[in-house]
Amino acid sequence: MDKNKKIEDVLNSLEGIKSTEANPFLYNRILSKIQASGKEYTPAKIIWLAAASFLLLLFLNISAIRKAMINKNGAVYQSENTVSGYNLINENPIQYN
Amino acid sequence: MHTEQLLSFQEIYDTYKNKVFNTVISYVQNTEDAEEVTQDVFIEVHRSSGSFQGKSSLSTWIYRIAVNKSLDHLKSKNRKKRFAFLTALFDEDGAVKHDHSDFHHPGIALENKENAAILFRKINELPENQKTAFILSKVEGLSYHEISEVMQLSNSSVESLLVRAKQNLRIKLEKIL
Repeated sequence: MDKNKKIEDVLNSLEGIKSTEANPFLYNRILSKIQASGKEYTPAKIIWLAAASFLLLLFLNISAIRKAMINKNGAVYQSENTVSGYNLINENPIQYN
Repeated sequence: MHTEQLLSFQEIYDTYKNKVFNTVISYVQNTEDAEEVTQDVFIEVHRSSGSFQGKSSLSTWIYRIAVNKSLDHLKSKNRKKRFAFLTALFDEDGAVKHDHSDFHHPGIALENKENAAILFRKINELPENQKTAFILSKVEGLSYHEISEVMQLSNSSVESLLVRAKQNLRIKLEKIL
């Protein structure tokens, strides 16, 4: 009986617990820690925007390079067509060089 | 830090400093550690304030950070303790230091101090979820609904966690009283 009462007393010992005041110097310590980290924390939104811009730039660059390469290949193909189409292949045994 | 951010951060700090400190001290059960973890909580609040989307209330969000930081601190402390125990096995004197000191919560009435110290020692032995539900309910006085939002669980899960926490505490107390 006494044991049960003691257990109940322990279990109920937090009733009426009061809020404790945090150390008044804690705020300054937090501020100096934030400032001592030497950099401003960048909000996540800005980080995502920067990443998205970088990816967009990368995509544009890759597509521009691919387009340029296709154009180059197309030009070669076109010039080959022109050479064979107009019978411009040199069949003369005389070499120019 | 911009002045606007600074002001709003100070307002947040002033509103929540005691709630955070009280929650944290119930987990870490040591004033110095509680101050260190409280600092970490507000640094995280400052760092993540841009990503706070307002899906939950500010209070819920801050409590969640406080709970996570406290649990992380306890895990790291336990790892250090285990390492210290292992290294002590190979010490010349073989002395193993255990932290047996009782924690006296500063907000407890004098007549309850001894019983509360026993209870805090046993709260420390509870599984994480039960410990969180018990601390948020009995120390912070949060409602089931508020606890369910902090822990991201249903109201019934919180209720069942609290029942199991009390059962476990009762079993542990029966062994020592």
